Amino acid sequence: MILHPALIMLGAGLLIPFVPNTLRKVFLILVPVVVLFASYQLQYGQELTVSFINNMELIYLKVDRLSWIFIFILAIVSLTSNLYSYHVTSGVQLSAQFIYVASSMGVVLAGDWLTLIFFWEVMAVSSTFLIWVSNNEEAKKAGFRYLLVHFVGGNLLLAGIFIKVSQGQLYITELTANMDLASILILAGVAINAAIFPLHAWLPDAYPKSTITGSVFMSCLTTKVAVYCLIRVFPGLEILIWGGVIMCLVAVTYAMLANDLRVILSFHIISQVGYMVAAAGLGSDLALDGSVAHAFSHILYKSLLFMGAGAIIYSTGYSKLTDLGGLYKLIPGVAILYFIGSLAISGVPYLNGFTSKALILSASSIQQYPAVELLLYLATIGTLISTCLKVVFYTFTGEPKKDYKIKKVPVHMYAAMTITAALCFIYGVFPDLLYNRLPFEVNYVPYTFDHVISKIQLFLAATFMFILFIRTMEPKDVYLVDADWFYRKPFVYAVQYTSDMVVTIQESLGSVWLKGINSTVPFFRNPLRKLNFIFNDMEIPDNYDADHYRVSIGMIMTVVLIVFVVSFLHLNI
Amino acid sequence: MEEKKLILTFSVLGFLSILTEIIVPVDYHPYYWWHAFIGFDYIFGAIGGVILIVVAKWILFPIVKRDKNIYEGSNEE
Repeated sequence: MILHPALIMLGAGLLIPFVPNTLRKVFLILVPVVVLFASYQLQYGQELTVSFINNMELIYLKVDRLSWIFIFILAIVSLTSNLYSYHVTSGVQLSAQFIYVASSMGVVLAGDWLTLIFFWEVMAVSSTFLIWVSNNEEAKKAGFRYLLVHFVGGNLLLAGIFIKVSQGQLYITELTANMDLASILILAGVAINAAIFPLHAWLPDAYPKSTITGSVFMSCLTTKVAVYCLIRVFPGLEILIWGGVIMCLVAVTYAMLANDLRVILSFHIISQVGYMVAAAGLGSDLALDGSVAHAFSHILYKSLLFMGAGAIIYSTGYSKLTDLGGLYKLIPGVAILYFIGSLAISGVPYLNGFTSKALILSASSIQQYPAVELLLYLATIGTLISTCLKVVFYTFTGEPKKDYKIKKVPVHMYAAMTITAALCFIYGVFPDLLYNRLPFEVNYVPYTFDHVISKIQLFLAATFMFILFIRTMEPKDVYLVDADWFYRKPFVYAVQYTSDMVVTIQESLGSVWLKGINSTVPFFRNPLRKLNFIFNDMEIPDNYDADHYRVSIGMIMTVVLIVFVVSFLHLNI
Repeated sequence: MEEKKLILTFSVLGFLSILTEIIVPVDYHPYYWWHAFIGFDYIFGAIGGVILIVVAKWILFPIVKRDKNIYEGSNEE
């Protein structure tokens, strides 16, 4: 019997608001454990289908090497993230996070376009609730912006899918070689979710506004599911290589300027997804394995980093570097676990970021893209400087900048972070655990002396430069304008001006029309006045009055009677 | 003072890492010249770090920094 992980999670998500609070705690752990088991027992080649309208057979579960590894990591992170959010009691939030994981799994397991778009839209809506449950004005507005952007993306995808399905292509296939209108629409829809520059600004706008537990889920799901779609549908599409490289560099540069912990981490989601997008664009077996492996690693260390940032915010009530400092003495456990995550994202040897990033860099060399290799390598320096050195230095070292009333970080949060950090180590030390499950069988050895010494040298030099420029790197509490400015400022004004213009035109036309009527009406008040040369001896009123010209009823009746009598006499003769 | 100590430490560590690369026989599989260039990663890390910091702090920052209330009153909702 095949257990469908997404349907189990979806059922639990729909049920959880209605179960008592104590039972919710059991649900929070038990359901992800069952889902992890269900995911692990899936076998390559398994399929589940259901009949749909017009004799269409939908494939709502299709397992191959690519979908298996994504489902497996989504199930792992679902367990750790739910453990992290063990203190959450809000039924709406728990339901949203369950349905969000379920829909992400649904997209990954979908074998046809209709199943994919269904779960895709559920993913957008459920994740929006994770922003709204923050329950403040900023989150409300950010949630609406997030939803609008994702509806645009979803509709582009839907339009592409509509064309594909109407052409009889119901099942998800590779579209790289067939870039027609439908494929371009599908690519645009997926690119928005993958936060490809310049369609990325929704991410650092929305994720930091979510609850501390909500942002852990968000950091793992939407963009990685989009990467999965790019790997499945558009492998080897050259534009993705450069799209990925630009994402990497723009995001790390922004992250160096950002001041809020979760904004910095959000920019680093974009930069890391940039590696995956570039690798999907490279399209070789090694590159695609690299993209999958990096998504797998990224989900682990990024969730660890967001958990760490969440624990800092939970504990201190502050999220900006300009308000933080000296936390190593106050919450050393969180500091160590965050530091492990930041080393992992920076690609330090013996942590999982190293083993996955190396595949992508090697693939770009082998495929003769030296500029791609060097630019991605440059982004690694930026990742180390901002996520690791800058955050650690300004958050954990020095003296506290505020008078914190430290709230004790709950044990379940530590447990979730420890498990995730341990997984970062395990997959870093034993990369074959992951490599053996990747879509293509590639024999890659990451731990060679030159690989390790290269990374050590890079990190030593970057750290040296960070210390040298320590005063320049001082965070500033200002707002950093991004590509969302275009739809938050000029677009808003454009809508306002367009509506004002329409109203002005309507009013102007109305007044012209009114003037025309007013000037024309006198002519039609009494047309007989224009004929007064005929009735020159009659008194003609200004306004037409029918009674004025009407003869009496008695006269009419007399005429009728005369006509009747004459006709009658004529007929009798 | 602490800054100077750290700078000195990382300079020495950098030097040692390059020395290690010189001493230990490495079986390079170069696709480009920089893969077998001793100390390339240290030089790249240093130059790359400066480029990123300069571009971020001195070029991008003045362009993108705005007042925190930039979107207030724009009726965006």
